[in-house]
Amino acid sequence: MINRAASREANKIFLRAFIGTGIALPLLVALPHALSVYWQSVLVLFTINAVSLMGYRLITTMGGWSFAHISTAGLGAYTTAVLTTLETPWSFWATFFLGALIAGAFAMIIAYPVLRTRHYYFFLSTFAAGEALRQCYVQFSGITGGTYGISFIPRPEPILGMDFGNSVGFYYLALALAVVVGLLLYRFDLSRLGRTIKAVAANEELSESIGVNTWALRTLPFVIGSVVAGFSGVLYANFNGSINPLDFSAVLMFKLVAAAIVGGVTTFWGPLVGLLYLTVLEEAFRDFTQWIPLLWGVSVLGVILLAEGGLEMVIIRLARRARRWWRSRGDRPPDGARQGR
Amino acid sequence: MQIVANIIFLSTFYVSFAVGLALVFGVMRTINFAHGEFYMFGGYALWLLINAFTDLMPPGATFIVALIVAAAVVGVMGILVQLSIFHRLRRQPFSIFMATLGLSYVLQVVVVKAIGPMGQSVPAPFPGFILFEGMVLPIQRLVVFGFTVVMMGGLYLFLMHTDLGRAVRATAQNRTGAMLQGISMNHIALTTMFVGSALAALSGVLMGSVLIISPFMGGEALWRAFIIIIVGGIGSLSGAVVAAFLFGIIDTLMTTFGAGKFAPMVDAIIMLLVLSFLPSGLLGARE
Repeated sequence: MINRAASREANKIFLRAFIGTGIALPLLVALPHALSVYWQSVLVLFTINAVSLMGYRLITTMGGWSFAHISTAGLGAYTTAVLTTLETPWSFWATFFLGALIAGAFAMIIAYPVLRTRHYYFFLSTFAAGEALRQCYVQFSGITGGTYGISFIPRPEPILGMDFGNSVGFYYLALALAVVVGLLLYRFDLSRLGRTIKAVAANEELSESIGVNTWALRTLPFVIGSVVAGFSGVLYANFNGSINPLDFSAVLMFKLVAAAIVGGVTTFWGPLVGLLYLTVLEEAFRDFTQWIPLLWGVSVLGVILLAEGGLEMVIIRLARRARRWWRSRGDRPPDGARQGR
Repeated sequence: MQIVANIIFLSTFYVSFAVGLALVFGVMRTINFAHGEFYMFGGYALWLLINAFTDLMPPGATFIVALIVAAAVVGVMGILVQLSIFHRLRRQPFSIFMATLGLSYVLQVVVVKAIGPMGQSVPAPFPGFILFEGMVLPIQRLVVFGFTVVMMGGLYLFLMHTDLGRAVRATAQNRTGAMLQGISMNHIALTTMFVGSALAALSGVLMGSVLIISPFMGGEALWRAFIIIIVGGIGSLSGAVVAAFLFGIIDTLMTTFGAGKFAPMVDAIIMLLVLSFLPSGLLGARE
């Protein structure tokens, strides 16, 4: 009974999000036409990062903050970069799925050892595993081009009359992926499975003692999140046209972690707010690139020390206050309300 | 024989870097991510002092001054981190972890802006070579080895034979038990952060005399140190030393026999295997 009520509630919330996306979609489709070429490419990179971050948030719901996410995305990027620049190149669309699959396979292989660790131990072991993977990109130069990386990665071939050669076309590809991934992951988050994963994160021993397969429920989000990272990596490589090991370095991993901390991970949209904040910060200081990691670091410190829970909690609190003000508006005499402000 | 010398040199590097990290973890139950940047500060302390005192002092004396200055300054920085971050967030170890991660990027950028992103190197304070049994032994490397041994010996004496050291170990073993004995947690935390940070700086001065000094040297060393302390058993000092020698042997052998490019992968695979079969590491206590 309770389950059925909960799933009806989940359906209702999801329907609202679905309709909301439908309303926002025309705006998002029109958006690049209002922007200069520079801002179009910022928008594309933001969308690709948003996809990766949605996968990252899924991993955090099981209680572990992976630091291998960006190196895993690199597996997708290198898959497409290697295969589409062969003498008989593969189709982008084949590497699109293969890259994500390889990223997922990597996650599955390291899942057994790294998921034996919890909390910050998990962070350490994924940090070491991810950095070792990135060192492999440097060392296996026969395949990956070493520190120079791989250049001249072609853009995806057109399908259904869509041309991905320019930023706007590519943005639509990234947007389509973001919407599909976003809706699927949001529905997953609301589902019974998604809720059980969070319960396991909250109390693993208790979950195990009532017969929940905690092992599977921690591996599943880790692997799915890594597959999503793989997709984002493939798009990044094809959009950028060239990749090298520095594209998957710890600083960029820190950007994802910082987005999740600054935005908060309790809500689905929290990390995306964090990413928006960091991207705005990055663009505002784009003439001072060396300062950017410092600004991110200060933001993380500020949120942890001063605004626990991140921007999402600030927004929720403000929204609650606004709603209360909206409701009480009718009760008070007009003068009093104005004074109350 | 040269291989043996190389193994010992590489292992001293791993030991001197990883032991401070393991000490802080064992007592504080969280990782100080800025440990790598404290190590980098040690390297820059040497570089700055050598450049400032070129004509005033023999470089060997400057090297010793750099060890003392770096340990004191960075140790105080460790105390500041304890007061501003660790103490305020003591109930949320995970937040400490993230906050020190943020701090490490702040410190990195400060050095990049103050000194520049390019790598620097210093001429060896103790130049020259010794030829012994067919081995080429740079004197500077021997000095680094000697100081690392002294450093580890000092740490051992401090932990095993002083009251404060015993209190630190008691806290690492059982926090509640230590508190029941009237040990002040604040006092122990301050001591540990001072000693741990000073160890990072000492390691930085020692390694700065033989490696390239750059703002990113801490980050480059850090992931290897994580592998070492995970394999050794998180929080176990003896485990960290054993694992440092293990990886010193493996990495040297792989480099010598032309398989150096597999070293990061092999190290990571060893870590993953250890986590699979001995989740608490070689010498770590079961949590």
